[in-house]
Amino acid sequence: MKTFRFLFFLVLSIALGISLNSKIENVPPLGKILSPFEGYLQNIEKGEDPVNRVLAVESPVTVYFDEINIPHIYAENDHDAYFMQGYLTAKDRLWQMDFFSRVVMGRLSEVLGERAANFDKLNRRIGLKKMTYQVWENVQEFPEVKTGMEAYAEGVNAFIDELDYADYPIEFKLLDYEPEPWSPVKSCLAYAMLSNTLSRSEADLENTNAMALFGEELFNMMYPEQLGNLDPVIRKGKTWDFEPKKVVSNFRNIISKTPQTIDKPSPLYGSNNFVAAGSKTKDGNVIFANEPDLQLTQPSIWYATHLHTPSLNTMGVTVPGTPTILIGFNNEIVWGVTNSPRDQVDWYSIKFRNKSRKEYWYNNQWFKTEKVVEEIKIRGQASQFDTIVYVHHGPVVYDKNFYGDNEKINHAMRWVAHSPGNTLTAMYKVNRSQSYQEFETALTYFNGPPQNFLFGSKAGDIAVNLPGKFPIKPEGKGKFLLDGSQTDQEWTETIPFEHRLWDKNPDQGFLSSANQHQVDSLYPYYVWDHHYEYFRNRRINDRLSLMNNIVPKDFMKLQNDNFNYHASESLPAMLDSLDTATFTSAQRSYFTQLNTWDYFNEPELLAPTYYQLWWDILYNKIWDEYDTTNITVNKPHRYVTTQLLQNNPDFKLFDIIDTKAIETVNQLYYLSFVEAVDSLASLNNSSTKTNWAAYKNTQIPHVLKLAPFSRENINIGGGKGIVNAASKSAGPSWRMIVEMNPEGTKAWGIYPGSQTGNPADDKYGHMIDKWAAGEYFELLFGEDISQSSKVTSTLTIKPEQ
Amino acid sequence: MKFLARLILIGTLTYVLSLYAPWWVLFVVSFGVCFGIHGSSINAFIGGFLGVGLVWLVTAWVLDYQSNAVFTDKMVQLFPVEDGILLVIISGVVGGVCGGLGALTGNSFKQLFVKQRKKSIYS
Repeated sequence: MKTFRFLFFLVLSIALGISLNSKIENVPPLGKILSPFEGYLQNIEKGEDPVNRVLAVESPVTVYFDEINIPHIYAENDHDAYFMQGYLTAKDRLWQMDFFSRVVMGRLSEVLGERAANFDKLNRRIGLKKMTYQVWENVQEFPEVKTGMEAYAEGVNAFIDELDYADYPIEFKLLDYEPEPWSPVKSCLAYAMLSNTLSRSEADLENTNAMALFGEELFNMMYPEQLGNLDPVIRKGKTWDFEPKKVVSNFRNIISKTPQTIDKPSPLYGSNNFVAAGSKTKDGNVIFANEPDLQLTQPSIWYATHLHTPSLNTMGVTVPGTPTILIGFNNEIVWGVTNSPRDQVDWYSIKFRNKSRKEYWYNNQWFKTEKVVEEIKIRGQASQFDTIVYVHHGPVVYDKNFYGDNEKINHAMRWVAHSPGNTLTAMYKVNRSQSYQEFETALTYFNGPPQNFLFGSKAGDIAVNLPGKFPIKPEGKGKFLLDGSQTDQEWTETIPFEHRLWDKNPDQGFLSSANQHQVDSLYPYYVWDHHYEYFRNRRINDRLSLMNNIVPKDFMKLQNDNFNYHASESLPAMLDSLDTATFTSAQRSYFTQLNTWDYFNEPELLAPTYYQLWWDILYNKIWDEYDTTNITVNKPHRYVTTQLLQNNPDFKLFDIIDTKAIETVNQLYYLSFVEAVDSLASLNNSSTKTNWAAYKNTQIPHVLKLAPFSRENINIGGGKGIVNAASKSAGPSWRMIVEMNPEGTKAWGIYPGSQTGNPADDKYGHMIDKWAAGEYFELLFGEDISQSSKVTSTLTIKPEQ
Repeated sequence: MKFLARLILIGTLTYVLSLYAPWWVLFVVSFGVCFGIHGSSINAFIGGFLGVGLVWLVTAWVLDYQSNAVFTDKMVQLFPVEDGILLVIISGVVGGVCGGLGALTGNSFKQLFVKQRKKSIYS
């Protein structure tokens, strides 16, 4: 009896101990996480950090922290600077870094379980892991860059080694796994991650579907390559004095349908940069602005750092996990990027000889394929094995195991990003550039993802450069699915660096970019993408051409400009079409709100909401044809839609298919207006706030979508296609203004988040409201900042003995 | 006396050892203490429950109070309870139940080796 009692209690204790120590389904290990000695309460910051440390640096290092916790790392050599960059980034963002590396390596299922398996498969199939290893291999040719990657990894690992369970970031505790050692390969993750976000957006298969559905004439009207009144990155009329390389102009598009297509990054979040030369500014200094817009998350995508060594003094932001600075400035130059959408992906239809998929048909003979089996480890389950077949174009992403439409489809992907080149080396060299010439040389190493690199210098130069790898294609090629069995369907050469798009010190005294068309038809190469910006670029250039005596404040104002260009071009015709005599009182007040609106999407206004409601209903009515098909197609751009409404009122698809009558444009305006007024009434009835910021509801969710670590209903204006491009889930992820003052570079910056990624920290997300209000922090920068009043704490690191 | 000794010993050891060892060291502590100072099952359980539970509760409450409950109020949203202070109390209860069970186990283990002695008038 006693023995039984003892055994009973023993088993019960052990069972309770084990279950409270384990994650069960989605319940975190309660014993561990609730224990006040090592659980969530230990994530609360405990006062002052130490002021002295001994770490594996080569020489002493001093780190100054400023009011927003940006580390200013003053080291005596590169190794120590990157070591500390790794160490301090990990201190603030270790879990995010681990998460990013798992995304790129296709290893998220190891910690999230089965729900991430398809995501991992997609990322392995499109080659993110392979690319990252390739980047690391290419880095071997540049010993100084390699040293940086290694030192950064050493720094991250030095931090990880200091951790006990109690110190793990809260996300590790909630998901119940341990941080694993960092590696120099992981330090290369930014290339694959950013390429995946920025250069994988394409619509080849959607276009092929649309072509099959609508036919060529309608297709060309709905997806035109160029439309009038565009304002390209390279100012119109610039001539090019080189002989372009010749290109084979044979290609044949395949007529076929791909019912479901893989997930792709949103084509456009909106990013802007602009620079004014001394001739346009008050003090004669170059003034520069950049703001990359991405999906907004907490922790933020960016981490700000200042690196200082005898040969380097550079500050700006980078992706956690990546050494160097990706967007920033030094004593002599400033640079910033916006995505430059330009077709980087082609799809080829592949014919296998038989079910074994060991051979495929190419150039009238059977060629051998290569197969790689990827093991996707899944938490709590057996591994899944995914066989990826490679042909010479690239991976066969669509096949019988993945979006293959019952074995009917085999599409191979050729993505320019698959050959990574030396983009990280380019950034390493850009960080150290002291003049336009050095900057330009650094860009020769840049391989993508395609960016509009804007430049300004203390010497007074302003420039824009579009470096990268761009296949030379005949007009129209790459918009649709291609035949993978023909040799002449492929591209073989890329545009030489000397033939790239660029401009320097134009007479107008300013340059800008905002994801719009790159260039007019004078450029001798074919340039195409499926999605361009039509509004922000024009607003920015309209303003810049009017502005003179510019001071940094003017650029801050322009970055936060809420002018709704699309509304200004579409709303007048919409309002004019209505018969005001027949209005109900609700319709009249709706109309009056819009009729007196100045097209600024300010957060507190009602009119932007009224406009958006009306436009969205109108847009869906126009493209109702798209809702009747279950194959994937993209609806036309709203700029194109507006052009069609105003210039082609007889366009066939304006008719609403559910009705017998044939609707005119004016009827569409009216029907959607009536519906919009009704939807507003139901919003008001449910006492939903309808001012613009509330209706738009800009959100910054935690990466894991955990509500208490997320923010929503942020009080910010702007929106898609507006310079202040804060939409529901994306927006300005780092606003930076830099003045190249001869007495020392002056800079201001802010991002919607915080340096710390720790939700238990008081400062978590502390910049969000200031960011929404259009405020900036003046950034601490200089050769010697030790006496600055902006330094809030100092950390001294001594080498190990 | 034995009850108080158990309680204080379990509490102190749990607090000190938890600073260095994983949370489940409390099982070892309450087991060991109740193996050393055994008594009735109910006494052992209460000693373990209160010994560990109070240490967890008070430590959690102090950390929570020092941080103005900001983080607890966030964390509680991940749990099916409403109020932050409930999470602190739950922490205490989780620690307490584990401590109590460890104590019961230690106590019952000791019982295996204890021969029933005649009741002494001194005990």
